[in-house]
Amino acid sequence: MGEQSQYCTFWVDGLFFGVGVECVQEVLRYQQLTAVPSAPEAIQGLINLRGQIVTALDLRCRLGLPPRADDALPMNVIVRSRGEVVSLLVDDIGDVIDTSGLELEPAPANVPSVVQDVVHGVLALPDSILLVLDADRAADVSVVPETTGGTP
Amino acid sequence: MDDDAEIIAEFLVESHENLDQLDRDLVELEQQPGSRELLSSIFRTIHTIKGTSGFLAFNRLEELTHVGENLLSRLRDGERVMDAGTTEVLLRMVDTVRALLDSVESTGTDAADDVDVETVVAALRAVLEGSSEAGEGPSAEPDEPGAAATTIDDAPPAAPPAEVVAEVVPEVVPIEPEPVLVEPEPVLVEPVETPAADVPAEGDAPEHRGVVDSSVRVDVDLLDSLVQLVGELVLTRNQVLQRTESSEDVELVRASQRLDLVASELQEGIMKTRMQPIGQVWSKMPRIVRDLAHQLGRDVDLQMEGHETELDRSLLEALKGPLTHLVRNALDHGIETPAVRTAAGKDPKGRLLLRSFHESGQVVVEISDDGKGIDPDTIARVAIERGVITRDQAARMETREIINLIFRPGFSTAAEVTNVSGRGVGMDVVRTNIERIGGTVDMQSQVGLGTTCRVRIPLTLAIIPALVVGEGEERYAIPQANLVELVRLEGEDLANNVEELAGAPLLRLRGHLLPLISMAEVLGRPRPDASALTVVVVQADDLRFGICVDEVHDTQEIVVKPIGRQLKALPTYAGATIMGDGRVALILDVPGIAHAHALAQNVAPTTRDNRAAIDEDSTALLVLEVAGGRRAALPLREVSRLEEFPTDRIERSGRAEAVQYRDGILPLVRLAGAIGLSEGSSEDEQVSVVVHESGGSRVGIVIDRVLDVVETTVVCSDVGRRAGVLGSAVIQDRVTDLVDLDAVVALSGVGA
Repeated sequence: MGEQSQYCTFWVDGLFFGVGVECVQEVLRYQQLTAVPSAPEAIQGLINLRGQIVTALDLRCRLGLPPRADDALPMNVIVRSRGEVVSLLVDDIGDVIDTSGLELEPAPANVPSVVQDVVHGVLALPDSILLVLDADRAADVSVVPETTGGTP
Repeated sequence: MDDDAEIIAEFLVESHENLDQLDRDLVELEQQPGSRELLSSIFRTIHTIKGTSGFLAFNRLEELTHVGENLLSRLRDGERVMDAGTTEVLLRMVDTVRALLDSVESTGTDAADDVDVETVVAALRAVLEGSSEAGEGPSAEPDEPGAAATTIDDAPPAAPPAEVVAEVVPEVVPIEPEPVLVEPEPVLVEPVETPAADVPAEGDAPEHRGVVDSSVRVDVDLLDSLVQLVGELVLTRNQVLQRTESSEDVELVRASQRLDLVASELQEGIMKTRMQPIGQVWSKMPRIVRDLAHQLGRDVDLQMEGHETELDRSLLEALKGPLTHLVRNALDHGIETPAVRTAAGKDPKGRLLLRSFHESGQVVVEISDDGKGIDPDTIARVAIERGVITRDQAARMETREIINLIFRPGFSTAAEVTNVSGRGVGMDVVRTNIERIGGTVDMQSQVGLGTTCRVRIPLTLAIIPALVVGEGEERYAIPQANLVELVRLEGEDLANNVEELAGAPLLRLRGHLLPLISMAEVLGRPRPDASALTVVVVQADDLRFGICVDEVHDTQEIVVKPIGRQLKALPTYAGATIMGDGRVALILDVPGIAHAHALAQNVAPTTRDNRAAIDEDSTALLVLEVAGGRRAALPLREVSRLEEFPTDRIERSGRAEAVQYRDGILPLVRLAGAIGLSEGSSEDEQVSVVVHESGGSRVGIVIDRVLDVVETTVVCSDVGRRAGVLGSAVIQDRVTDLVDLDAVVALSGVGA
């Protein structure tokens, strides 16, 4: 991993997340989505990012958090993950912050496991706690095999 | 002949490049005489030319390079040290090789008298044998050093960068080398060669472009990225076109039309650069066929047509394996041994025909043999034994469908099956590979006469024509390759031609029953009720079915884009594309849908059984209309099939009616009569028949038509109870007779 200290930050249902700047491609405001029926729930749809098809994944749903209010449009944090580009849908974008000097600690044990699973750890900032997101794991959503009419 | 010409052309291009490299290496070697690396590189080059020239029977070239190679191997192994004399003689060798290659290019042989091979060979030998009088050569031929020097000076700038050559060599091949080679216009060559014997024949250069000049080797990655870019361009063009359509700015409209035209042409051109003739794959076939025929004791005449048929190089690459496999199969299991053939009254020499051609935007490759063919009965039997299909299904299948069972995975994995069936080792793999590149494969066979395997592949994968359909708010693209036809059904047609069997809607289309599936179901939503249906009839493998859609937009060229890993496992989608308005649309994977919804498989009966077991209280009933508007129902599980027979196929035996059905006699019972109703007037040319099977015998129950299939908890009342009727129940708010099937079937017992 190497020691990274710059994080692109965002909020998801009041939680303060950060992704290493080197794996963030860009941040976009709300983009029109094309729904993908029968996709995993967290997959909100596909967006057209300058001709490239990008899967948009709702972090609220991914983390088992309550859905966003209907009128609140999510923002896109476009990250590179396992050779692909994935858009993480988040509530709001924060600043890029420098955390040099701070030690990455493991996520506290009482954090829900679905959240623990997708973070590298936490950074205790003076005024808040930053959850350091593992973009690869966050973007790993597998299709649950359908129970009806599966092939033999 | 064409094959040879092609090979020679390749050889020439490759050798010329190698020689350019060689010149540079030799010069460099003079600077650092000890370099083992350079020596090895030079050695390899000469070795390659030697090998190929031996193969192509260019004996003088082979002799020359052979001696050169010997000298080089000594140098490389450190047995000799490089000196000026050695360099000199090696450069002379290179020049002579070049001269010989030119002669090959212009005359087709290396026998040209004007190239003095013998002197150079002698000089090489002299150096080789240690009489390090390397100066001998140049002094004997005073012109030579000059020529060599010229080459040294000229070659490097003219040559392409070294790394490009190294990377790309095996990949790209000039596409049209023949015209230059076959008719080399020797007119100019002859007068030139007499006065200047030792100068490489450059005389014909201005007259026409040589093999080397007429083609350029390009990095495949570059081509791929060009294809990508042109894909983007096509998309952008679509967007621009859509915006300008309604524009009033005439200039803008004109410019966008021009853009449309140019983009299309550019796309076509770029696609062409990736096209390669299928002859590349076929050139390997004669050898494979010869070896196999020899090994298997077959006598085979291989014929090939359509070498020049071109397709995308990535497809060509992917096609190699499956085609080779099919050819092997044809020899192994199709064509019989000469003795067997003679006994069967056939020519002892079997015929294997490979054909390829373009047909409606696809490339078709046919592999046909005149061997023993595939016996559908054997296939069916084995398939049933292996549990690939049920006996029932086998009885219902057409011969063609049965033969294509050999592509089913369950069929071909077991070795003993293939021995019995005749064909099929890894046939499922063949099909998988062909489908992976968007193709289809189909097998047709006549017992005793032969087998034809037809492979269809798209020209290119990157841009495909597709039908865009709308469902809900979204649009979806169905690849044209899967598209058969569009059917619109409204009102009466809808009622007459769409019926449900066990809850599964079927479309009656020109005498065939097509399973129907609605887009909503494909997308995992409940099936909607509709007063009209638009059915897209599609074909996947050997299965044809209909997809009901909300709207049909139009056909477009779409650029296939990959979708993320989170969605790859979904069988429904093949990818995504970007529409003219910039929004994303998903591309449907027709074979995937067929499999996911068990249309192609024999899953239906088991799922139905499961459902019955889970939901014990409710029964699925087939609701019928009899006697001109009266309703009757019978348990769906008792219905094996719905049939429609032309009235004139009904035959009589005594008082009983029957039709010939599946190689047997199907006794018919008229339901109206059986349940004590008067029969409606039967002016129809067709009768609808519910086929019921029990204990191996079948009965056909003649009805007016099928109304519906309902899943309901039946509350049977005694109202209307009579012979053939258990009672009645309210089904769909209407009183409906419940048919006593046993009693009705008993009536048919007369004929049995």
